Amino acid sequence: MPYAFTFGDIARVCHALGMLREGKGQVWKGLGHDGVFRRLSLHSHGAGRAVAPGTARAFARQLGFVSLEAMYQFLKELR
Amino acid sequence: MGGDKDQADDKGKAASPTPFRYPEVLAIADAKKNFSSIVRESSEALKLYMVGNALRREAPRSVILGEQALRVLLRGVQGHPVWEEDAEHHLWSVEVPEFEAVGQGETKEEAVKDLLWAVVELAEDYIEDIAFYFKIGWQDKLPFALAAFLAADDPERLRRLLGV
Repeated sequence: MPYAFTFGDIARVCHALGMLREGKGQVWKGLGHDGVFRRLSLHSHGAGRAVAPGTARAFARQLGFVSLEAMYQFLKELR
Repeated sequence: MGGDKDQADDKGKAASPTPFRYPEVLAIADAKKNFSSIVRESSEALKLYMVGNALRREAPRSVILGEQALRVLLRGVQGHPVWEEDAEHHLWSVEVPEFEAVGQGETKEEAVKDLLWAVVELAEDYIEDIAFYFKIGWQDKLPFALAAFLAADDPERLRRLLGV
């Protein structure tokens, strides 16, 4: 099953993971409630724009999710 | 008498735990006093300096190395991009796993430009906050961050580094 994300969704996931956008740039960093430090370079292209599947998979991996589905479920619980 | 002294010196050398001579460590105060000549000699004459705290010998030391020598050290750093096309949405993704950087766009060229942006941004952030990246286990990505940082003002060099 394909999972669709927008750049706004990814920013929301980052925020929920305790990450903050650093300075003027688009690098999100932070310490999650699970004690894991994360970082993500997120050039948003606009919050409503679609994230390509390859990009979404890379984001999911970098954020520590085991799969796209796991990131999708995490996002669903935030809604 | 002289011969006895030479013999004593030879015995001293033989008893030394290592045949290597430890590098001379410049005290911070001396480095401060001679900083302009240190910079000139490291950048132009490829001289390497090690600077340390003269009072706290166990404290971590710093190395001053010219950019030219650093570029030679980083020569082997190379990205191997992974491309993926989303035909349904007409989107291209490109990821350089060596630096965990990703770009996307409606064309391959757009995706490359996005990737270049992401890599430069990430490299600058890495260099500004190396302690954080070490904390998240990114020690092995330091050479890539340095190489990208040095190539940031030259798009062609950056493209070669990323393999795009």
